[in-house]
Amino acid sequence: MAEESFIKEEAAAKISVYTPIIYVVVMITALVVFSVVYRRRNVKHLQEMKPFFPENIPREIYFQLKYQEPKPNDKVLKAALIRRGSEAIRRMMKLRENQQHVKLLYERGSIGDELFLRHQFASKIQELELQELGLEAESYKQGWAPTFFAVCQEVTFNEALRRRVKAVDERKQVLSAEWGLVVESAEKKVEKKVTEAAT
Amino acid sequence: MTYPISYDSTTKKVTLDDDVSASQYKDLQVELSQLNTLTSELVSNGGDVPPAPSKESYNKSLSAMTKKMHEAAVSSMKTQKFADAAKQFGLALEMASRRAKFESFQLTIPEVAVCLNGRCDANLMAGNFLDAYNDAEILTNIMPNVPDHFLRKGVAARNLGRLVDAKAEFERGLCFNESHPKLQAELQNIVVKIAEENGE
Repeated sequence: MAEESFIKEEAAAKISVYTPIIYVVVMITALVVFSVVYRRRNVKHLQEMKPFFPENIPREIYFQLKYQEPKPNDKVLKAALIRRGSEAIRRMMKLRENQQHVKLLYERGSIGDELFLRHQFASKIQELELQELGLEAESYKQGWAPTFFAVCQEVTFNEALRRRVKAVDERKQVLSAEWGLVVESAEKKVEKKVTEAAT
Repeated sequence: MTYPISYDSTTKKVTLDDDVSASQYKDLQVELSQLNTLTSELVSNGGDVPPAPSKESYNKSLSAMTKKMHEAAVSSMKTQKFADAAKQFGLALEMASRRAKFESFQLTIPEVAVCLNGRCDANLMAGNFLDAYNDAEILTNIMPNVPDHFLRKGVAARNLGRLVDAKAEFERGLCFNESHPKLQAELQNIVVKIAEENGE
């Protein structure tokens, strides 16, 4: 019995005092390496992800005009900023419209992680864009930011309405081709009536 | 990304560079034309920044001109000159939709809708059913809770021979007002016509 306890004590004495320290160091290093690699992969994945919206042309135009030499007139820059704001509001509205549906579809498993992430990512980008726009508006005139967004919203709605009204002719051609209709202009109809009346 | 655009300081307009083809940059050109329109509106407005959209900042003289043109179109309708009326309503619509983009949308939309209503009716009476259908389509998009717009669209579709589409429009209109007498009558007629077409 006494001999057995002697052997145990001897084995315990053989474990170095550095062993637990080395163990902790190895564990921490492994976790740090894992975290760095994981984050890098995530960032790379986000960079490779297809953007939710196509290229933001008004935003690019604004920056190009802002940093161009000679500098354009202030009104042109303000108009470009309003158009950039209008596009940001349009995108934000689209994202908010889709938010519930995207969430529901994701919960039901109808859409994958990537689309859901792209949507979330786009929402965050648009929030940042709106913040940046507010600051930019203030840089042109102190106190412009509150009315700036209201103006941008009106521009968004009015442009959408004009687009619809202007698209009538194009839509007419599409529908007549789709439905196989022969479209006669009002002038031709009048001409026809006149010739009919003459005969 | 750098776009091939250039700024003209005398006209205050941003245009595509001369050495690029417009067809290659179609979207960019649309954006530039919208930017130039907004710039000219800002310049003509005169203020440092555009005013907040409100009743006070709404261009009343343009409203008066639109109203005059609308009245002329209505009188043409009364004398049964439907093609002329359609053109006059079109002009009124153009005036209503030409106001500055930063003006109140809430005040713009009733003006546009009244002109579109008139043009749609004039086109229906003149027998331009495809134009009437398109006008009614815009109306149902901008004011989707008005059953009369669905009636107009349905009547135009029926006259274009699109009976099933017309039926769907009448049914949609009835969703907003179940007891609309004209919509009910049109729906009954169209159901009979569809049955006849199907040989029943």
